[in-house]
Amino acid sequence: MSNVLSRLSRRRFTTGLVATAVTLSRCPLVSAQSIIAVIPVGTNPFGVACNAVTNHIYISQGDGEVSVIDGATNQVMTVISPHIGTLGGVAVNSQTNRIYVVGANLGNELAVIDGSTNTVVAIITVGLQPQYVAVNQVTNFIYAVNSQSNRMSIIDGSSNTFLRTIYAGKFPNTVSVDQLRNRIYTADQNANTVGLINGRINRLTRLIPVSPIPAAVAINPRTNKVYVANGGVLSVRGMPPCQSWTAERSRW
Amino acid sequence: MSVVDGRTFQMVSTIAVDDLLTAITVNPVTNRIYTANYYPNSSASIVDGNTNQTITTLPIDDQGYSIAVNPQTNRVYVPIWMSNTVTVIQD
Repeated sequence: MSNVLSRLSRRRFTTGLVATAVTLSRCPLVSAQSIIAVIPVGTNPFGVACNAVTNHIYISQGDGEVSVIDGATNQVMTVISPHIGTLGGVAVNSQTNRIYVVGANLGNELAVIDGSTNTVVAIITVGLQPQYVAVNQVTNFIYAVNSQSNRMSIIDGSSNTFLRTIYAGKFPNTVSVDQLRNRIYTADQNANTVGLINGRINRLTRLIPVSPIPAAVAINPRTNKVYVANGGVLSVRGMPPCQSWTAERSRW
Repeated sequence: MSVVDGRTFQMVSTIAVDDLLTAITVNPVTNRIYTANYYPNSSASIVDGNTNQTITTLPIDDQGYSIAVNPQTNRVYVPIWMSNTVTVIQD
């Protein structure tokens, strides 16, 4: 009798253990990939960049300001005003802790922010209507696409000087850098190509055909794969995106 | 989404994510790709770069024009122009 009870209790115990193990193993799956916060910022947030070293996130806004979010608390720490008009994209060099933000709309300026003091340390005149910006942290060169004029501005981050603009394909909408190979890629929205710029000579060397309306481009340098978001974004900065969005959607 | 091989400079595949995308970023450490989509719905997608499969698509408030990931924390940030907010996704 005692043997039977002992066997029964052992079975229950074992069953309980198994059930616990199943529940535990399911936990990470249930909690994976979820929206954990919605952070209020300034008016018309457009661009975003992360400094992985400081865990600070920079948001460039249509109202001309940059909100700095503390990634640990998901709260806005401070707001920076570069005074260069409506802002386009933003990029971070986490090695130097410098943040680069472009004045889109009708502007032609790029503001350099010191991430340790959250102050603007330089304003650099670049090509017209810079829309998005990217940094090569290895060479400390900054690239801003002047989408309307089919060009890309090249800036030397060590001296904060604008070198020149180069041809970057038809409507280079966004820009991304492969730091391993010193290559710069642009998403040429109006030509269905990705532009490849050799960072050593700062010249467009290839136009790679991709699926229609390449809006943005990103690179995994480890696998040497380039990913292109197809769909398109507003082509004129300063226009409320909802209008542009409606106009674009009606084409489809 | 189009995938270009950086060795051959050729488009090697396309990945079904959503109809229209506006922004994209990669976490090179995990080989995950993140996109902001605006049609048919405003959403953010997570794609596995090893399998070229979409893992999940999460609805967001409105259209995002940029997306960024912190590779250290695996958190993804999408500013939402119309709602004056930033959506934070934990992957």
